[in-house]
Amino acid sequence: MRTAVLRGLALSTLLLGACKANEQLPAPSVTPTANILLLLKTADNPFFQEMERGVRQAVLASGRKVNLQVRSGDSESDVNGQRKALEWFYNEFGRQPGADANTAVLITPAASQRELTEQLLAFRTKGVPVVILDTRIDPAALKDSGLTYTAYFGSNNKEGGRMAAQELLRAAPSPRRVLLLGGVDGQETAAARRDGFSAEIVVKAPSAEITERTCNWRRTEARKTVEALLAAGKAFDAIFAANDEMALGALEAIEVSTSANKPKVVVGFDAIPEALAAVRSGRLTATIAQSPADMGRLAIEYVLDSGKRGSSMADEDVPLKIVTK
Amino acid sequence: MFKSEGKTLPQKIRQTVDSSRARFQNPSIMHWVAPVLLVLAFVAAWALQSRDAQSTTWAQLAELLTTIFRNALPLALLAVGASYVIATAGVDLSSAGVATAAGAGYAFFSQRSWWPSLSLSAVVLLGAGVGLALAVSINRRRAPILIVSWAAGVLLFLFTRVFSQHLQSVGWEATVGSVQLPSHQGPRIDGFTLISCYTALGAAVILCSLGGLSRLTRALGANIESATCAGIPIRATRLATYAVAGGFSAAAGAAFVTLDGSASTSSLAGYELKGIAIAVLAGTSLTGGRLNTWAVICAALLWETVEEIAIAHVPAIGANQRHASGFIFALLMLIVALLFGKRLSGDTITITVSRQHSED
Repeated sequence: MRTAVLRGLALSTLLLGACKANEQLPAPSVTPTANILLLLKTADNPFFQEMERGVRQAVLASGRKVNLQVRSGDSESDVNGQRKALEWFYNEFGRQPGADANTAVLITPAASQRELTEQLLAFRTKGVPVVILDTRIDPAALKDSGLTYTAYFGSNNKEGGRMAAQELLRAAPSPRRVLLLGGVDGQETAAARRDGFSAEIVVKAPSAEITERTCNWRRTEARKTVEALLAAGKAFDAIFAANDEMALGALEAIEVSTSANKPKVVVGFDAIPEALAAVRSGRLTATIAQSPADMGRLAIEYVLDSGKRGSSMADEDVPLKIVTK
Repeated sequence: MFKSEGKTLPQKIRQTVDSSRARFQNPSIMHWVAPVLLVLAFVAAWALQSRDAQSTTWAQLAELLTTIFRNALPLALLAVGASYVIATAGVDLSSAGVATAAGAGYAFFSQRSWWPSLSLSAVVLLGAGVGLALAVSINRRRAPILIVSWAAGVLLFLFTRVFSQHLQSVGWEATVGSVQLPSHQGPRIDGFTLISCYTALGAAVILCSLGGLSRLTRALGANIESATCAGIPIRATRLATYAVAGGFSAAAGAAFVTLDGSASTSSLAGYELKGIAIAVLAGTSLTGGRLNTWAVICAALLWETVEEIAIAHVPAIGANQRHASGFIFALLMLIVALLFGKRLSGDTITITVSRQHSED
């Protein structure tokens, strides 16, 4: 009984306190805070960590009051995680009055078809800008769903694949067999890098046979794939991995293999710090450097600039460069 | 009166036999499935290699076997640990989390130039500690193991992320998602190291067997009330089982890191289920009471051999060979389940104790 009375008193005090707090709430600020969602594929990959760094620096440099929410999926293909983050942000900020003026979504989509278009369309219906970073959504899927994004900042991955092929051919001039380690099936980035690479090899080294394996951007899968192929007696002159994590996995496999026909040339993509160290030490032949920090910076400048924000759709490729020893 | 899990049993039974002499049913046919399939898979892999390479040399065969054994090592460690817990009719979902945390710890200790054996011992102790904590939570609080171990696994994944982020901020070779091993020249696991690792694994399994852990876990999983009556120390057995399973998971984490050259905080997510699947394929009953650790090691090798065949020889679905290996393995599991369903199903096993009828 005594406990019940004490509990009742405590509850009443809390309720009264809450009412008082409500009464003392300050008036809304005149300058609205910009609510920005940065939704990455995964926070584990140094590439996306670099992008986040670019976004944070641009926010600081802008001098604006920004409520930056950074979210990510569990892995590069975690569509469900991204979908939930979008739905949460929409319920929290997207549906508020005036969201079109002070809210924005920056996303590196985990899938390139219609997996996320419904959630993004909800933002666009409210006039909230949606900026796509790094990975495009398939134009046919955009058309089908009626989604129009506001801006795209990324790399020309097809061109990157072509540059990787050129560097590979420079290091191994007439390869007979080339192994291509690809990213997640169906992702635009993976497809563009593969297409760019394959097209260049077909033109410049028509006799080369390309063997393709999907390793889902993961180091462990790339390591096991290369180990299995070498152990099965397959010989390769060179390997192109569509990201550096997979390139580093391939290097681990090559180093433990006792095969006489080990590939001597491995080219990666993304220029993450560990890969750059591998290039410097001569283990990795080359990697294609993107500028994820620049992608993030351009996106923030775009959404915080009211002039650009209302203008027509922006589509900008950040330059790529080859990193060798 | 005997007490089991805090509940007083209704009957008065005197312990009439030394529990170390008790014999328990452990039907053995299921335990032969994985070894037999493994031999067949080895032969298939070798035949396919010979077909593709035109002439297979002994060196190529050695490379094939080394690759399979190397990649199966962490899986075997994880699955052996899982199988001890499953034999007690429990499921440890923290094993992947333990392996991830242990992997990051191993990479960190390596960066501090600790000897590999010292780093390994440290992380195995860490894993055993987590296992002990789980067992204590079951023994003292009667906490449901599925929930507790899952939560522990998730917390360990998150802890590893925070740990790697901290290491990055203070200048170690790490990013938010991974901790790197120091740069190296040449293979980290060569033939000699691999043989040493499997010898150590075999020795650990024999030790567990000689120490009575296998027998006691089976008795515990088969029928806890009967085990109590037979005088088996339930709580101590549980403590030992979870500590050993945690230690095996931690060793698996160190092995994964050594193979990859980096401890990722996300790449082992879902591996706890792989460990459980391998244990079940080896005839470990999910309802407890059946276990053969040698069969578990064979099942891990089988898993890797199937992956090897799928990656190197089976036409891809799309370009993704893993779909093909998943398909082959699912088919294998289905055949095994249909053929040996009765033996895999959840029958309670009666402990047969060679009891001396010396009633007063």
